[in-house]
Amino acid sequence: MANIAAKRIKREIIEVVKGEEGVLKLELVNNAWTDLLGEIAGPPDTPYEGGLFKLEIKIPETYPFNPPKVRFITKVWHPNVSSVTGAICLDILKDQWAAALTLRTVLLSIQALLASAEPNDPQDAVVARQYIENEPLFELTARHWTNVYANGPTVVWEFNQKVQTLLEMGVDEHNARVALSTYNWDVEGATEQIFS
Amino acid sequence: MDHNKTKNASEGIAPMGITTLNETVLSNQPESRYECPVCLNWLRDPVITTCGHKFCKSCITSWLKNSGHCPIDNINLSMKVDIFPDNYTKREIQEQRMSCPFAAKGCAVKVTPLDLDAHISTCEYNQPESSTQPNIEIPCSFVAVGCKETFDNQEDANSHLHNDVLSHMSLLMNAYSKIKIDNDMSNMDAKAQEALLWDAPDKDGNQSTTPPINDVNPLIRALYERVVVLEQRNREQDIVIANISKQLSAFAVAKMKQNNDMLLRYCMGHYIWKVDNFRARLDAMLKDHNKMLYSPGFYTSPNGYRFCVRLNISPQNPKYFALLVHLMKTENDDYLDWPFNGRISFAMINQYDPEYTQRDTMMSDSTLVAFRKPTTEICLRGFGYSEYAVVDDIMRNGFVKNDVLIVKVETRFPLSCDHRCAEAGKRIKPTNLVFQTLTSAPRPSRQMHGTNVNTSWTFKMAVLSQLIGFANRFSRAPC
Repeated sequence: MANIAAKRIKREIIEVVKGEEGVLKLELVNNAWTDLLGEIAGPPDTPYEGGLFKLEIKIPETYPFNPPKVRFITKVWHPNVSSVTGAICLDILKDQWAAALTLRTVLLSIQALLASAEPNDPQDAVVARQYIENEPLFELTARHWTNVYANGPTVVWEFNQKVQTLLEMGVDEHNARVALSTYNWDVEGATEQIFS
Repeated sequence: MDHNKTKNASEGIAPMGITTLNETVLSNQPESRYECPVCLNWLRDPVITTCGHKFCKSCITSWLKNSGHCPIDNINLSMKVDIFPDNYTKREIQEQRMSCPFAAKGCAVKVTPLDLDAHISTCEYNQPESSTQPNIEIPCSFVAVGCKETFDNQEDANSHLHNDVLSHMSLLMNAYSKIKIDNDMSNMDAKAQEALLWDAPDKDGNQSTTPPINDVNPLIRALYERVVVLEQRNREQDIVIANISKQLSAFAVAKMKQNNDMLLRYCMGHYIWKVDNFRARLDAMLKDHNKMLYSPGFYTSPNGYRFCVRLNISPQNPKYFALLVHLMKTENDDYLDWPFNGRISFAMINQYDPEYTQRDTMMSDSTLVAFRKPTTEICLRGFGYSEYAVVDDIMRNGFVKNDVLIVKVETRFPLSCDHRCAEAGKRIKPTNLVFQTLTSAPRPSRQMHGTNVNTSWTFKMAVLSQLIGFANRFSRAPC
C-alpha cells in the first residue's frame, strides 16, 4: 500500500473516532490499512431510524486519488442499495469522488443517502419500483428490514407472520423476506416465485 | 527563560498523549491551514490554486492527472495556469519547530513538522512497544515452537534467548519431528488425502490443524461417499453394457439374416437344402400328412427366378415322400421371360456313400401352370415328384446323418428358347426322359385342402418304375 494511503487512513480513523459520538464508527479489519469496517446509524425520521448499518470499506492502493470501495454488509431495503450485494449507487463513490473527501464524509454521505433516496437512479430496480408505485409499503418494508437486520425498533408483525408462513414451507428466511418484499408482501406471488 | 520555554513546549505536546502509536501520529497533526486536504499531512512544497485551496505540490499533481477539478469545490483546474507555489505558507511551516513526541523519554530533538515523521521513525527513544507500552509483555521469539516465556522488556527477552538455547533447541527438534511425522503420514495417506478432498465441508477445518490420524471419521465418510459414487457409476456402466450387447445381438441376427439372404440370392440356382431336426419333422409329418416342409426361396441368378423346394408325405401314398419345386414371386418378375424355361435337378445326398446319392433331372414344361408367372407369393402349383422316395429307405439308407437331410437343387437358366431346345436335345440322355413325365401338383394350401395331385395313370406308372429303380439303388446301400 502506498505510503500516502496508509498515512491518510490513520488520520481519517482518528478523525472519525474523534468526531460525532455514536453516529459513525470505523474499525480496522487488518493491519494493512486496506480493509475497514464502518458503521452508521439510520438517520432520524426515516424508515432506517434506530438501526445500525455495517459497511465494508476497501481502500485502493491509489487512495485518495481513487475512491474507496464501500458496500453495505447489513441488508438494506433502499432504492440505491442492492438488496442482494449491498452495493451502493452514490456518485461520490464513483465519478464524483474528490481527493479532499474522507471516510468520514463518505459515511456521512451514505447516511444522507439513506435519508433521501434517489429512485430515478436506482441500484436495485425492484426496490425503486416499489418506492415509486407504493411509497407507504416501501417505507414499511424498509422499516421491517431495519428491524430484522439492523436492530431497528419497529416490529412489523404482519410481515413477520408472512415470512414465518414461508419458513414453514421450508424456505430460507432471507430468501422468503426478499421474495415477499419483491412481491409487495403477496404470499402467493412470493411462493410462486420461490418454487418456480 | 530557555528552561521555561522547553518546559512549556513539552507541556504543550504532552496532553495530546504519547502512549499509543495513534496518538504519536496525532501529535503531528497540523493546523488546518497547514494541512493538505489530499494527504491530510503537513503541506509539503505547498501550492495554491486559483480557487484558493492549498495542496502539496505532488498531491495536486497526482490528482489532476486523472481529474480536471479541484478536490474541494470541483472547480475546473489546469495544472499549467491555475496552480502557483505558495512560498509564504512554505516558509511559515519551515519556521515551526516541533518537539519529538518522545521528549518525555528524554529526546530533546526539535525539528520542522515536515521532518518530524522521519525523525520519529529513527528516534533512539522510539523503542518498539516496550518503551511506549510497558504493560504489554513481549513473547519469546520461539513462541511458534512452544516457548511460553514472556518478558516485560526487550533486554530480558534477549537474555532469555541467550540463556535458554538448549531448551529452544529441543523445542525445535520436537517441532521438526512432528512436522516430519505429519509429512510422512500425509505421504502415506496420499489416497486418503485425495479422498479427503471429497469431503468439502471438513476440508478447511481438518486438513491443516488436525493431524491425519484424527481424520478417520471424515475419511471413512469420504471413502463411503466414493464407494457410493463408484457403485452408481458401475450400475450405469452395466446398463450401458446391457444395452450395447442387446444391440450387438440384434445386429448379429440381422447380419446372419443378411448372410442367408445373400446366399439365397447369389447361389445362382444351386441350392443346398439342409433339413435339420429331420426325425422330429418327419414324425410330425407322419402324424399329420397335411404338414409340409418348405425351403427358403432361392434365386436362379441375382435378378432371376425364385424357387423353393417342398418336401412332404405323398398324399396318395403315405409311404412316399413328395419332392417338388415351386416358383415364387420376386421383384423382378415383370422383366423375366415367362413361362420359366430350364432344367431342374434334384439330388438327395447320401451322406455316408456319395455313390448312392439320388440324382434326378427334370425339364420345365411351358404348358404347365407351375412355370407361369406366379400370382401368389408361392405358386400354387409345384413341379416335381409326388412319390419321390420311400420314407423308410430315406431314414435307413444313409440319407440322414446327425438328424440332417440334405437335398441339393440345381436350376439351369437362362437358356434362350431355341438354344434351350437344342441343348435339351443334345444333353439330356434318354434315360432321363422318363423323369420328364412328371407331376404338376397343385400347391396344397397350408390348411391342407385340395391336396389331390392330378396325376394321370401313365404318369403314376412312370413314377412307379422310377421308384422301383430308386428302391433298388437303396437296397445296395451299405448301411
